[in-house]
Amino acid sequence: MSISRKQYLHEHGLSDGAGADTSPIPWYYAAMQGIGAWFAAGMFLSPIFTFLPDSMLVIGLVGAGLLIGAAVMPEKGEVFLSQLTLAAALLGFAMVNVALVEATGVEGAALPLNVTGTGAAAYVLVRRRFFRFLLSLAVMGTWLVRFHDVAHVIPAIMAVASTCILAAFFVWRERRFLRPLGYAMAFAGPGALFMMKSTASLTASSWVAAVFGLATVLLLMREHGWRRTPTALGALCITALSLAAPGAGFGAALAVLGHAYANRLLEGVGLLWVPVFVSWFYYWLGYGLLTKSLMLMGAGLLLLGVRQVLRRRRVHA
Amino acid sequence: MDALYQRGAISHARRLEDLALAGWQPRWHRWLDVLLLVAGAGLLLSGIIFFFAWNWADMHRFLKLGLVLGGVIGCTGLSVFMDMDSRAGRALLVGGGVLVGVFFAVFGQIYQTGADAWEMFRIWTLLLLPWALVGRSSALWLLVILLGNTWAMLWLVKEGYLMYRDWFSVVAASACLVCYLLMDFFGRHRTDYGRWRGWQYLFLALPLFWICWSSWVAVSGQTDWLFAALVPLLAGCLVTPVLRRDPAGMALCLFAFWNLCIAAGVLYMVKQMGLDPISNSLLGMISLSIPVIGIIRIKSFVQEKGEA
Repeated sequence: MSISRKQYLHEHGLSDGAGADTSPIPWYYAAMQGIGAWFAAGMFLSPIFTFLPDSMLVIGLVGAGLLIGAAVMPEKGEVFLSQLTLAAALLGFAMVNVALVEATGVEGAALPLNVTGTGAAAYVLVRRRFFRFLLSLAVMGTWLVRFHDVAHVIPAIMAVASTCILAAFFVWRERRFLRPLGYAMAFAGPGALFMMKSTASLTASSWVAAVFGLATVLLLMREHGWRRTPTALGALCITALSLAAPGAGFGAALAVLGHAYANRLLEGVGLLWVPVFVSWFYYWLGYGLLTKSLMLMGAGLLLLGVRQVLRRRRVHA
Repeated sequence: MDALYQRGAISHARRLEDLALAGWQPRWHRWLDVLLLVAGAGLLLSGIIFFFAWNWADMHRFLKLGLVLGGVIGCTGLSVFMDMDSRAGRALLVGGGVLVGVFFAVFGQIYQTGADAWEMFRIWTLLLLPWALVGRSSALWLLVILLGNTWAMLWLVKEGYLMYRDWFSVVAASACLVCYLLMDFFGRHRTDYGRWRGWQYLFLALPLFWICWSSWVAVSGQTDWLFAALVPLLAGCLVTPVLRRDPAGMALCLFAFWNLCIAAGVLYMVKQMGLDPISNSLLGMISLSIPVIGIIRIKSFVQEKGEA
């Protein structure tokens, strides 16, 4: 049975024009508008620093004003205005934090706490997905930069990222404002591992990635009613991958989650991390080039063999 | 459905239900099949590359070359035998294409030909081009594009043309003009001349890029990564209207592009003059208003088009 778009919208009690204005312009117009908007942002925003007095209070207040302006600006889906607002909001956020640094200093957890607090407020205030995404990344980045030399900061970031992703895509998935946070954490978790070159096997991060992978697979199994044996095999593969190369396991779990929900972005991010961390795993493996090459060839043949077995089983089934 | 979901008109659960009704379901078998094929072939090819990179001294040179050539012939033959349009056939063709490069690398390793890396990438790209045309595989095209870009990048770095922007711009612009004239000469005899002419415009647009790019490098003194990231995007903005036969889009994107170039040039001049901050800001505002005018023109054009 097939239904027309009109019938579909009618069934959902939506007007005929709903969803029609999502992307009426070709992307190359939009790209040119976006680039132009950032140039225009430079025009409108750079003179601020020329005319502002040195007072940090004024800088903070102007920053807050920019944030509030971005919050009240209605989002009509216009690329030019949207990008201009995004630039203003980001500058406002930076200015507020510069002023706060002057007031509280950067010692201890002062800076990350400031950024987290203002970030949370701005996240709620400014309803723009990309801004929220960047804010989440900025907050995680500040914590990482400030505490990168503290033990277990990477597994802690991985744990926070896992919790946020599971919350955004499983627990409160109808609360759309959490989505940008979930996407940002899909970058931030493995990104922290990558930036700190923490790719060793069987570390605390490996266990966090393994738990995230297992939780993802088990939650999907419960929701989709998957059979136990293939699910257990999948979970085993993800766990093994996580323990060997934590970022790759994390990425694989993200890819599974994305594919299960037809979420191409999440799937793409996950599939991006897997080769990155697998390559790194081989790079840091403490064997000679010949041994590594033989291992790579063996692993490749093994995967191709598994594929062939699965195909045969499907044909016979 | 996705558009409605993004706008918050339908819930996540409803979206999945409707997707299932429309015939979409997560096809795990297909997904796993593609994933295992890509990962398996990727690991295998990486292993082969590293194996020959290790340069096993005890292995006779003919055996090395024979193994790689055997791989090329085997992959291509199997691909034809298995059906080139199947997933495995296309993967084998890509594998064969990669092994062609391995062959040249091993050849250079054994005989120490003294060739530069860009020369190897040049011959590799040119040899793979007919394969890509015959294979009709996006993976193979991607490989050719990657190789072509690597060739161009290594050539630019090695030959240092970026340092001599005037010469480089002239050479690039002349090459494009020659292509334009050749296409004009041969294209007149073609039945699909209209489509052919679209590509001609591309050769007129490309020199603008190279001029802008080399000028930017000369102005900034070093490669600016932000701008480098913008180059493919801007290239897409100029090329896509041509491919879509959208002459108005082409004209508008060129207009906006020139505006951005002029604005960047004016800003650079302002910076060089060393004016006081207020004059600097004012001049900056004036110069940057040029792209804004261009963008507003595009917006009004799009609106007019939408209303029409």
